[in-house]
Amino acid sequence: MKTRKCLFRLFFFIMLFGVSNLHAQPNTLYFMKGIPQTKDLNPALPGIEDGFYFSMPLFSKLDLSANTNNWSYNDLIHKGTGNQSDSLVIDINKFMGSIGKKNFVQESAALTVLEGGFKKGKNFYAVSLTEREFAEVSFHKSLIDMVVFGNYQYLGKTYFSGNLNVNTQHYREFAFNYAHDVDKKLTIGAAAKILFGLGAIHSNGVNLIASVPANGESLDVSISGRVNISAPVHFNTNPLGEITTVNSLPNYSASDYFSNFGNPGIAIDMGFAYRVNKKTELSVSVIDLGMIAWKSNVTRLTEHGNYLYKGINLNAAGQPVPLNSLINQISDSITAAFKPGITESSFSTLIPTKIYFGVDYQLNDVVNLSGVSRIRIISNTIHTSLTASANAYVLNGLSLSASYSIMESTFDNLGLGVGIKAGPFQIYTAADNLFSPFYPGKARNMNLRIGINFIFGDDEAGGKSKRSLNPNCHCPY
Amino acid sequence: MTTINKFTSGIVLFSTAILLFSCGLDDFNLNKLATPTNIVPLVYSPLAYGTYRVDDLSLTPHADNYLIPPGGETLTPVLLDKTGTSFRTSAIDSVYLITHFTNNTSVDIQFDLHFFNRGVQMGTTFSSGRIPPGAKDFLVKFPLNAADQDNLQNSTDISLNFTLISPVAGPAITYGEVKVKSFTVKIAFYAPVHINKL
Repeated sequence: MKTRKCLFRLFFFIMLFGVSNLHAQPNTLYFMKGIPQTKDLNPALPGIEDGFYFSMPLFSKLDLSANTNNWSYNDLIHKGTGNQSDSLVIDINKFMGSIGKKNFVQESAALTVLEGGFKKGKNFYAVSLTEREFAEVSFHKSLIDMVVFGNYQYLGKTYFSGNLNVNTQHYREFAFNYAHDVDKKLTIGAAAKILFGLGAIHSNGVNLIASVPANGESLDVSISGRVNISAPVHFNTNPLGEITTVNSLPNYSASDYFSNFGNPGIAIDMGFAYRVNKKTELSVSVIDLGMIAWKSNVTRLTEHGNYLYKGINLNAAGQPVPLNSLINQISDSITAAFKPGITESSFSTLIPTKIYFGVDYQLNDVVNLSGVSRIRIISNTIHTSLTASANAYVLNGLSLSASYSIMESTFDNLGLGVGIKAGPFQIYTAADNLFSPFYPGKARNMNLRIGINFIFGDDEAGGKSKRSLNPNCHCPY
Repeated sequence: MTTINKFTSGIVLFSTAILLFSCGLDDFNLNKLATPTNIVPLVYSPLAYGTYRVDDLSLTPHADNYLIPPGGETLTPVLLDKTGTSFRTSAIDSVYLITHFTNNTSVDIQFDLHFFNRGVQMGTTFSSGRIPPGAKDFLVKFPLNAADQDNLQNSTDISLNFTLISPVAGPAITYGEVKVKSFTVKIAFYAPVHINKL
């Protein structure tokens, strides 16, 4: 009981103090049966009952995902009509109507090149090596509004752009998984991850505020924010400290980039699965709670500029008023006011954290009905997705999942997961929206997981019929 | 292995189906992007401002009891040397000059805007009309069409002319009543900017 209380306390602590961002594996994978990689979504769900497995070297598993907050590419760019029917047009009005007050677009990719693990008795161990990258951009509608409609509409008002955030990271992950069957009802699991950052661009609170009084006599502009960069580039400045060019570091090769161990990080996964009764199981996990300390090839651009622009002061010079020199003076003042500070400061970034809640109900010997909720926080906004799935393990090797998800206010997410095993060889794939590849321009959520395993010894796990009862070994009955 | 083969075939078939039946892949061919796009923000910016005392701009010295004539007393024009400055871009078809005028004198003031090229006026005169005494941030708009912008571009000087005019009704105003008074002119512009032409 003490362990359970601790788990719950830890979970609520994490909920209270926040997690960061995104990048997601298909929810459909969460309850697929007999797939060792379900541990990636909940380390207490190791997927095998006994024996050991390793994944296909260099292509153990591949994760791809991209999504937005319910707007699509075709909302911005689509085929024209009439005499523009064979052209693409930028449809700003449609785009403005589709986006929300706060918006994001994100993509991620992860390739595991080595993975293996084994379960013996009550304990499961696994290790993996994965290359990960993700990129996200979040922006407020008001930023687009300014670009599209200009600043004239803000005469007599104050304009707030909202934060423009860019967060992209590339890192390498060494993961060590452990799961333990505490008793017949409870399985706990955790993963310790050592991370090595390879490249990052991370902005923090970049925003613009502009005020124009009703008589339009001035333009009071403030820009603030910070951009941290870890990349093999160098910002060149002139004697005034203004950025003139950006160059790649000399003699810095691709092998230097990929063998960079100067940006260490750590992360953990935690989870548990608790069997409430013979047919129902609850599970909760926190995935990728961690950070990377960026120390090599770092540059920090800091902006805290303000300029009150009133135009050319006609009283400032004699007659005739030399416009050119006065304009140059103003231009120099503006450049100086908004000159970013450049330092080589180390920084840290959180990695995208997810929280999963799952409930699994055993309908009969073959089929389980499941529900999983995933929580992500993007730009201080909680994003929740819900997935319901039916999962089966049939023909002694075929794992099937059919899912329906509600994600970012989209309701057309029909997913599928298929895993097939013949002898030790297993190949599996899962996606939360099966149809989005058919209409990528209209898609709001796309994700795909595919992987190849070689599993040994699991079939001989006592020759029991427990696989047909519930092949996912986190139910230690 | 038969099952694996079937599964692999299934994935291949599914991928082929995606390639064959994916709708709108052509939508990602940005070479087909039509121009011009319809992004035309209205951009506003202050341009210039100045405050002038009447006696600083007086063309000739006057006695304090000199009556400002109803026909107007012209002041020294404010000349702006435009050499080396360009105000023309193909992204802007039309510009509106917005002037906020504050008249702290007790006479009407009219100001006129002219473009000159080496002493020769280019195009028309933009006139504010009479701005009454005590007016604060009196709004005057001058629309500049393409021809006006060309004149501005080809000009060497911009001239702001101010004229003091005794009010139509009431007694005539003496120079002594207005000579230390001031007026302020603030010029801004707004223009639809065609982003694709920038």
